[in-house]
Amino acid sequence: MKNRLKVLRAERDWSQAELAGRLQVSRQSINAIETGKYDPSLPLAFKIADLFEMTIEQIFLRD
Amino acid sequence: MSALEKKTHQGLWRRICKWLKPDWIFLFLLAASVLLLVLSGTKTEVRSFEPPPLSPKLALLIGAMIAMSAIATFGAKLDRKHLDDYMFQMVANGAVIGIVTTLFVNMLWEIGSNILPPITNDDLIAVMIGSWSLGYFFYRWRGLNI
Repeated sequence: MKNRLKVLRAERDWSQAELAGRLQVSRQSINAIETGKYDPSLPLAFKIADLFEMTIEQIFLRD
Repeated sequence: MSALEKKTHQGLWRRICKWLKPDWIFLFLLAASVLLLVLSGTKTEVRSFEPPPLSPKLALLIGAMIAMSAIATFGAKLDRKHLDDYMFQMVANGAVIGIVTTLFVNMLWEIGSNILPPITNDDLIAVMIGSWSLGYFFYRWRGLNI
């Protein structure tokens, strides 16, 4: 699954650590999502979508 | 507790949590499994020739299995609550690698029992811990979407 997390984070000028803090997850989780090493669980995907005020489909894209 | 003491305490706690993250735990477990394998090579397993009666043993094993499974399920629930989702998935997937590897190693030794040196329970536990750790690090390196 592809995602736009890195772009969205860069648009807001947030570091990985800052985003991790806002989502209450580890920085490694953010890095793993951005590099495509890990697809987040549904609760975390909703949390990300809420934070960026978007729908899940606008952030996570099918391969 | 003063504000400064509280801050220092929180800083120390954060530092301990940072050190105790799964990477370090699994590095320790990997080292422990290698140590177990080295140590188990120095002793031989003694088995009793007269096995105990089957029914009490079976009842004990089934009881222990149910009780331990319940405790492990509760433990996994706590892990899931306190680890973040990414870490939990790596720990859980690593555990699957550990179990499957142990089963295969045991099967391999059963098949080749005539030519392979005998394997002890300690050896199998070491293999399980070691392969769990290796599974964790493999997922850490290659990601969960491999």
